[in-house]
Amino acid sequence: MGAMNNEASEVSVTRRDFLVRAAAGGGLMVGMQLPLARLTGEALAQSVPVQSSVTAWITVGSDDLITVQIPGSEMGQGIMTGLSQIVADELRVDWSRVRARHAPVDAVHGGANASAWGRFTGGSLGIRLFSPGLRQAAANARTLLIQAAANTWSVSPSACSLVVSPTAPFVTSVVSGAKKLSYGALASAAAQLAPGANTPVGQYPAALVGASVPRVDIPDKVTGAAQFGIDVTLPGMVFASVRHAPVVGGTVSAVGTKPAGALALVKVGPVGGPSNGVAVVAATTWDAISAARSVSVNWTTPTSAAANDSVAIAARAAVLMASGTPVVALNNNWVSGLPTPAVSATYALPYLAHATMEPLNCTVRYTPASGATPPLCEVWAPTQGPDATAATAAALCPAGSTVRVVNTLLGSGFGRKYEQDYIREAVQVGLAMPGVPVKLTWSREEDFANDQYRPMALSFIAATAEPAHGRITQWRNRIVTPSIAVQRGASATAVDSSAVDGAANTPYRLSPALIEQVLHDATIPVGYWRSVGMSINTFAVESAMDELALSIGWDPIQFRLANLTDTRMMAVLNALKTLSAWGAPGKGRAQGVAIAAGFGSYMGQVAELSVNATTGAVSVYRVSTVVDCGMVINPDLIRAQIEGAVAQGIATTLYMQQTFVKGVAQATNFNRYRLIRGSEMPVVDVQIIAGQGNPIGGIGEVGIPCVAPAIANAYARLLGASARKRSLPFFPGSTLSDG
Amino acid sequence: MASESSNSTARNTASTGSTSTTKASAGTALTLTVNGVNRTITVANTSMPLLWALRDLLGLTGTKYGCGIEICGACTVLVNNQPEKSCDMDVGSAVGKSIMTIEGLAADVDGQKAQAAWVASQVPQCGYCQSGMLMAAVGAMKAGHHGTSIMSEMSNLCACGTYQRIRKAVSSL
Ligand code: FES
Ligand code: FES
Repeated sequence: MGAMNNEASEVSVTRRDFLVRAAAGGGLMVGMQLPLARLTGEALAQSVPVQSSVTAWITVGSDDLITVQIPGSEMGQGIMTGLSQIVADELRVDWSRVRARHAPVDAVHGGANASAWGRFTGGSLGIRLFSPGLRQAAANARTLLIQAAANTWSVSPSACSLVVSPTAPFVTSVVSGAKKLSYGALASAAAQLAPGANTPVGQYPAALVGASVPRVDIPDKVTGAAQFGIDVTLPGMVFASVRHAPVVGGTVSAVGTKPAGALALVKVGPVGGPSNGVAVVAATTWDAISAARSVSVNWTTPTSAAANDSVAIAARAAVLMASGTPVVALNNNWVSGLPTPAVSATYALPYLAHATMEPLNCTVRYTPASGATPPLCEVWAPTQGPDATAATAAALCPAGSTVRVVNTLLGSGFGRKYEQDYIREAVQVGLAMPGVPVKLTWSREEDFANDQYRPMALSFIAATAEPAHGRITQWRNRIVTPSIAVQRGASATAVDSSAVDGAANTPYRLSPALIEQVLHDATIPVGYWRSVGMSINTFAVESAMDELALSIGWDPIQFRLANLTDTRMMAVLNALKTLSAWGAPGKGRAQGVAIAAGFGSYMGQVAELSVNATTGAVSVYRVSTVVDCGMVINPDLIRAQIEGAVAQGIATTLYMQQTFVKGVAQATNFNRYRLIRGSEMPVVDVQIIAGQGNPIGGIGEVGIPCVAPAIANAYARLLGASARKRSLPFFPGSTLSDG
Repeated sequence: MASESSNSTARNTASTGSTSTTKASAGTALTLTVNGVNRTITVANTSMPLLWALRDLLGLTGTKYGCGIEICGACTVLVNNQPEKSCDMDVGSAVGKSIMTIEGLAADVDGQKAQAAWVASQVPQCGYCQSGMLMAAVGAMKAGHHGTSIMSEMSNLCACGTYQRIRKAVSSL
């Protein structure tokens, strides 16, 4: 999602946002309206709401089970676990008593009242955004429970304390002298109390925060019980699939008749625009996919088709690099007449599909108005933006409709599942099938061919370093790339901070420096892909850093250290030297390093690889990672995110790209959009520099940017500077066959 | 995170059939043996992949659709104890064979071991590929593989990149 590299400044929670309710079965519910972090500066320009009426609830059941409603979407990053750890610590409850689920998206929970952006999960902000409010709600719930006990016993709350039973079932109780009542026993009395002032948080030492507690979502993920959007099953449900215009930007001109056996044929497309696809409803998903393929459709071919061709896009990028009109993203003492740069290099990156393992899908049941009851539109979706999903449905349904959204688990998201195209289509199909629940599933081919891709980019860097102290003496970087913000309506003459993220804000002391952005006007739709601009710019910057080090004969790590100022970044790099056994690769192997600062975190990686002399194949043996992501909630969640990002990063380095021929996407399945397999997975060792006094940093995306340059730098060290790969992926034609 | 009960699944199958009576009566009735239970379904076309019969007609949604072209392994099930990609197996050819899906793993000794190893190593991230991963691993165990040799039998794709933990999990099997 959005390039929210900007820090989430503190979230303030005011007393009027503190809500208490009775839960079914004699429980206590404590809710906080969670103002989304007051993002400053650039993030505001990207239309993130300053505040929405998101509400999260913590329920203390009469059975002593604590249920945490998670406002963010669980897509594998572990948000349910991390937030629950924070809540459990404030409530002083044992981990075995905690349950987590996605917060409902309805009026009671604030969801349907939120802005179009509403809650979202992205920008590596999940725990950073939502933990202050949830933590406060937990502290307030604790105070209410203690107050309820004090009232029961006619003592002062200060005469009460908490104990957690050391044996099963590990319940937490309030005690005063010989009197003792469990949270569950106190819950219904606590629910009758009026909310008071907020309780100060952090009064107890951390018990779970900072520990690798087991994830709450894993047990259901090894039994088949975990329910993703694609698994939603409703009584009487029918199944739909969609076929889009083959050419990007194409529309439906004429449609043939409904295929035999199909239940419905529905044109779908943007609100107010011409249809760009046809959906078929049938008895099974297989019937729907087959029928959608067989429908005869005449498509219009847009005039942009010729320009939306990978060869034409690359040629246009080269022209724009030489003669485009730049927007200045950073000018740091830049002057004309500097000496000719010692190093100048151009780096190229492709469009990337998201390739979420769970294809796009959404289930809708539309019930028309009956008597005084307004129409009801129920939506089940794997979404990174549940409030945006509710807004999408509301915009399509008759005025006055009730909209309910259930956010399911996501079979990965990577930024794709914030978008609303698949939601809109499912609602359009649902409206055509009143009273009948319909699950719309995109075939994998449609998923690949109709993505909103990580933008392509061409990045030129010209720079010089001096050998005495290893200092960079000039640095110029010009980036030609399509802009997500501009495609979505932002000014083409303003800096797109996400497009230059990692270039205009490197960790290095760069002066004089000039960072420029040139808008590429290709109309292939682009979107937020894990780490957004950093996935592009860190490759160029960190490759150029090695080229510069080589130009003055410096060790790549020493050269970087000579140009850093931030002590946390330097500590990461120093630790990485030791962890990776820098300078002592295995026989026939080479090491490469890359660093990045972003999403509130600091990251350094060393890749160690060999290249097969006959086939040229690259084997990555080890990726050593040191990360400082501030306050640590769960080290094992951090490790998992890094391990996974390394796997995805290797695939983007070696294999992944989406290309277009006259507007038609060429990679339409995993055979031509290659992920790595288990046999290609290196050892990933992760060292976390814990900074419990620092703000929580992001972790979902920061593992991605360094992988490609670390591999490219190792590759150039092994095979020589002339063999350096400046264009990704290394092996563009690589395919996977069934195995 | 509640899973659908098999009751609602059966209801779903029944009502799907009743809303398209002509189709159902024109279809072919097949009996599949899934996780030790015989289940009868009506299909319009016996060349429909087993994947969709499991998911859409039997409500066994633990088996996943990832690619539909035998590349990703998300749809892996055991057929007579052998791992098969159910996206490329005609439902008709599964008749008379013993099919095991992720939902049947808890009743299988090897399955229980694999599930426990997956939990102990905290393998899943999003979890979408993991049904297929587990079925491929259990298939390899049933073919006599142990430890890391299980991994070399598995070509499944994981977009979240959980391979390091899978390697750790199978090393104990
Ligand atoms: S869905 Fe069968 S192998 Fe991918
Ligand atoms: S755990 Fe997400 S695809 Fe494997």
